[in-house]
Amino acid sequence: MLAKLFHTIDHYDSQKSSNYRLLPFNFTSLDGNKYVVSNLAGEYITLEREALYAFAEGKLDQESTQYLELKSRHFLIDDDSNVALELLALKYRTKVLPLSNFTALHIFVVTLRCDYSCPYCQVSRQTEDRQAYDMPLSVAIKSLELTFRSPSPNLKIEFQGGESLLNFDLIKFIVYEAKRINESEKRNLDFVIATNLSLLNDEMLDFCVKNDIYISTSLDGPEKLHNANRPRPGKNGYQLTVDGIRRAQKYLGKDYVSALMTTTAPSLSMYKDIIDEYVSLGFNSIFLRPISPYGFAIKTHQTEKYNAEQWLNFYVSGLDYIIEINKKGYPFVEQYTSIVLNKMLTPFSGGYVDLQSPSGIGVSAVVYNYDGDVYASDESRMLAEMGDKSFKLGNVMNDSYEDIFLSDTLLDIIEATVLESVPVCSECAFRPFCGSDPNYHYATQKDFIGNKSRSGFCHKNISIFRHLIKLMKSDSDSRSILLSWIRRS
Amino acid sequence: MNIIARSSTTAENTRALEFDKNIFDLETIKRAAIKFTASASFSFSHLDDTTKVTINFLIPFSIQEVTKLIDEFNIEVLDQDLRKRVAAETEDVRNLILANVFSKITIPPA
Repeated sequence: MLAKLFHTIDHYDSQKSSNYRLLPFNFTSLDGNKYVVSNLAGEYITLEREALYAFAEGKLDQESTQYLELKSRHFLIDDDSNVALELLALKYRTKVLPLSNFTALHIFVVTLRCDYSCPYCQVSRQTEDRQAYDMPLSVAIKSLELTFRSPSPNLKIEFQGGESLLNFDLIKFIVYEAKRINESEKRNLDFVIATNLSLLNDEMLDFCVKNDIYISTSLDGPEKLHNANRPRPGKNGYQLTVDGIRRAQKYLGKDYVSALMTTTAPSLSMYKDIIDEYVSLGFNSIFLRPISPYGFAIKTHQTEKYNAEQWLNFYVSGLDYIIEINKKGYPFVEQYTSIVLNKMLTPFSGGYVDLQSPSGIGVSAVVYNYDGDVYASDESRMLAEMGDKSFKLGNVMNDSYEDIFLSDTLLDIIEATVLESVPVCSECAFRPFCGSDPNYHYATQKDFIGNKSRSGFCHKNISIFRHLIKLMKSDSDSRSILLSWIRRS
Repeated sequence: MNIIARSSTTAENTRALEFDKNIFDLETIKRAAIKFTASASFSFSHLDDTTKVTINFLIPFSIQEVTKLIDEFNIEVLDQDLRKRVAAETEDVRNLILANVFSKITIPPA
C-alpha cells in the first residue's frame, strides 16, 4: 500500500533528461572507424562511427562518458540547460571578431635587388646593380598614408626585398616617418626587417636597437645545405648568415631575431641536422616550411623535386624530434604546429594569413611593391613577378584607399574564400582549424578555391590536423609539450 | 555492413553503381563523389527507381584498390546522407547562434 504512495529515487533525479537536442556539428574521418566531430566554435571530439551515428540519431546513452563530453563541448542541449547556445555564439564571435580590425601587416618591398641567387626564390629577385628596382620616396610616403588608413589598433610594418638592407636609407626614412605619424595615431606599431644579414653592420644594428626593430632571416640548415639552397656568389652565405645572427642576437637580444627555413629535396633527409642547427644558434623555434609554388621555384623546377607525402614525412619526423628535444629540457617550438594548436584549442583565430577564413589577403596583410603596385599578399606579388597580376589591387600613386581595399579584385576573392560556403570545406570537421589560400590554389589550379580533392594545401593541413589529434590522444607527454606551445596570438 | 549500392563492371577501368532513389537523392551522391575526383571522374543517369553512377578511374588501380575505393565511396554516401539530416535538424538553432554572434554589429549610416 505504502509503496504505491511513494516514488522511486529515479523519479526525483532531475539530472536525467528524457531526450537531447543536437547542436550544429560537422564530422570527418580521422582514421579507420574513427571520426573527428567539431562545432562552430572549433570544439572537437573523436568518436567511433557507431557512437557518432547513435549520437546523431538521438540514441546515445546519456550516462556515457561520450554524452558528457559532447554536452560539455556544446554539441547538444538537454533539459538541464541551454546555456550552450550562448557559449557557442560567444566563442564563435571571439573567433571572427579580429576580422573587423582589418589589415595589420603592411609589407614594404623596398627593393627587388639582391646579392644572393637562391634557385627557389619566390620573388624573382634582380641583381644588385639595377637601381630601377628600388622603391622611390614618393611611393614610400603614399604607402605609409595607406598603412595608417587601416583601422587596426596593431600595425606591423615589414621590410622585404630582394635584400631589404640594400635600401637601408629608405628603411630609416619609413621608420622615422611612421613613428612621427603614430605620435597622433597611437597604434601599437612594430617593425620587422627581413634580410639575409650579409650587409648587416653596426650602424644598422644600432638603428634596430634604438627603434625596437625585429630581424627575420633565412637559415635552411647546416652549412652545406644552406649554401646549396641559398648560394651567395663569391662568398660563404652560411657564414655570413650565422655571423649576422650572432651579432644581431648580441645587440638586439635573442627574442628580436628569428629565422625561417625552406624545405628543398636535400632537406628531406636532414631534419635532425636542420633542427640541431637552430638549437645550436640559440633559437627557440623553427618554422618547417614546404617550398611555395611561385617565382623562381617554378622556373627552376624546385617544386617538382618532392611531393606532399615526402614533405609530410619530413614534418612528422621533425616534429617528433622537436618533441624529444623538449622532453630533454630545451624549450623549442615548431611554429606552424603552434599556429594550428592555437586554432584547435583556443577560441582565438590568430593572424596567420595563409590559414584564415575568409582569406587573410588584404584583410590581414597587404604588400606595397617597390613600383607602387599594391598586392593582396606576398604570394600575390610573387605571382606578379611570374607575369600574372590577377591579385594586383591597384597602385599607391594612382588609387585611393577605397579604390584599393574595396576593389572587385579583393572583394571577389574574399567572398569566394569564406570556408562556410566553399564546397567540401563547408562540411569538413577540420574547417575551424583551417583557412583559405587563394594564391596557392590559383597558382596550382587556376582557381581561387580549387578542387580540394586535388589540393596540396588541403592534403597538407588535414594530414597535420589528424596527426596532432592522434598524437595528443595517444601520448600524454607529447600532449603536455604541445599544449605549452599555445599562446595568445 | 549492408551493401547499399549494386555494382557492376562495364569496362576495365570503370565501375557502375546503382543507388535506390528512395534512400539516397542525387545531391547526396554528388556530394560524396566530389571527394573522389582526384582518383576518378563520375557520370550520373536516372533509371526507373535508381540513380546510376558510372565511375571512371583516372589511373589504373588493382582490383583490391578498386574495391577499397568503392567501399569508401559507399561509406561517404552514407555519411553525406547523415550530414544532410543533421544540417536539416540543426538549421534553426544554427541560425539562432549566428544571429547571436552578429547581433552586436552596427552598420554606420551611409
